[in-house]
Amino acid sequence: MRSAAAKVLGVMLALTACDRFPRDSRDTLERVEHGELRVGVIEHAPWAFGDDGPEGGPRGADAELVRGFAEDVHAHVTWRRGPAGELFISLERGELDLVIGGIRKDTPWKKRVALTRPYYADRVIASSPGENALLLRLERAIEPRRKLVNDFLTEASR
Amino acid sequence: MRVPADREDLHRKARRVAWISIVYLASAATLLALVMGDSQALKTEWVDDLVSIVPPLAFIASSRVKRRAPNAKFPYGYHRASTVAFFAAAVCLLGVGGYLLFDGVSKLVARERVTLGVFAIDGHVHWRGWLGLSAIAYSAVPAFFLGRAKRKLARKMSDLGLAADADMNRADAVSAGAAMIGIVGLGLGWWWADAAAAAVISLDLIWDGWTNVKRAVHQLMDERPETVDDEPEDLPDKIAWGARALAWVEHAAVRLRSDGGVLVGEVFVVPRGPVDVRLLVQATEKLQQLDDRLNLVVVPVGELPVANATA
Repeated sequence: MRSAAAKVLGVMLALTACDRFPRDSRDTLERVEHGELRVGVIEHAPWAFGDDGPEGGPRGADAELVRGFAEDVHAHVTWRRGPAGELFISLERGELDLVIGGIRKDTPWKKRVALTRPYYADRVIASSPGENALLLRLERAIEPRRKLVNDFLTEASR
Repeated sequence: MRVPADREDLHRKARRVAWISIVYLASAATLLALVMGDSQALKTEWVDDLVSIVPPLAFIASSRVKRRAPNAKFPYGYHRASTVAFFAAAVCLLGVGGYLLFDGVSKLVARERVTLGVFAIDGHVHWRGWLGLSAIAYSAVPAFFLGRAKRKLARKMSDLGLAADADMNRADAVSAGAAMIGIVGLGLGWWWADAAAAAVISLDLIWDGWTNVKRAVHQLMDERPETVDDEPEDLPDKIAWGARALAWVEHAAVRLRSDGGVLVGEVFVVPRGPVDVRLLVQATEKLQQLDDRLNLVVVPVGELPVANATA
């Protein structure tokens, strides 16, 4: 009993020491870094809309956050537009890495995909389920950009 | 009924430990509820802590009821109250364990992938799993020591309900280890680790529930008195020898059962000749001195009536 507890404690200390913890169940973050970030876009102004953003991507608050994240992890984004249900199913299967478009934190899909914390009111970004490292990295990208998003949205509503 | 006098302070101590358990388990359950997120292992650990509150509650409730004096409606007194409480706690444990096993296994079968999310302190974002691990540690370490304290008291008081409670607390510490491994496994990218740990914890609950339902039913069926370590008490033999040692007794047999810490039963004696009432009274007093939990009735009979009593 005591030695088992010591082992668990030892493993935990070892884990805090290494920077690759938590890891993803499908190694999504490792694949995305210096690679391709696959993002599903639900057309929904002012969160993600149109296709006249930088490099043919959508404009909007969610789109800006995704670009910020991609910049942090040196990824290039491929956008896929479609109906919400289709995109969420792809996300659940690991065929997409993120889904954006003004998703609310109480979305009926919340049990089947991962969600960030709300970054503005109750708006969140959906992330591939089981990918703890991806979600953590995404949240770290969103955190310093909250103010940017706020300014962007106040400007848009004017 | 005769209640052992020197147990009063033991009872007070046991009630205090029970109260500490309730307050502490409630705080651990609250903490787990705050951090569990979508983790099945944490959810199971949370329910584990919640149901662990039932046995100490039952102990406190029954310890008040069981000391009521016998009356016309309940001529044998209220000692069985603790067995009833013990039975209720065990059934509750078994049911909850079964539900959680189903829940955990169905998540495994559905291949659900759990993502734990994050928390932020001062703009620094951390993985939520760390909160989960801390909450488990908080719920496990004191439970282990509470379990040890209760076990010691249970042995002194020969209280099976308290012994079962002690076992549960110690099992909580073990299941917390499983929950920790589940969270760490999740962090290592093993999608199944969380639900698998949850299933292991629920198996532990089921095992606890099952052994305690069995014990409680045995007591309600008037099983012979047993120690908290499930060994038969040697008292019936001692009483029978004591009775046979009396000059006026030809044969003797003893039948004992446990009524929640009090031992009740009959001493059947076949006298060598006509019996004086004073001899019966003397015999009862002498035999009861063997143990302060005993409530005996000495019955003179023509021949020993029960084949299965200790003769």
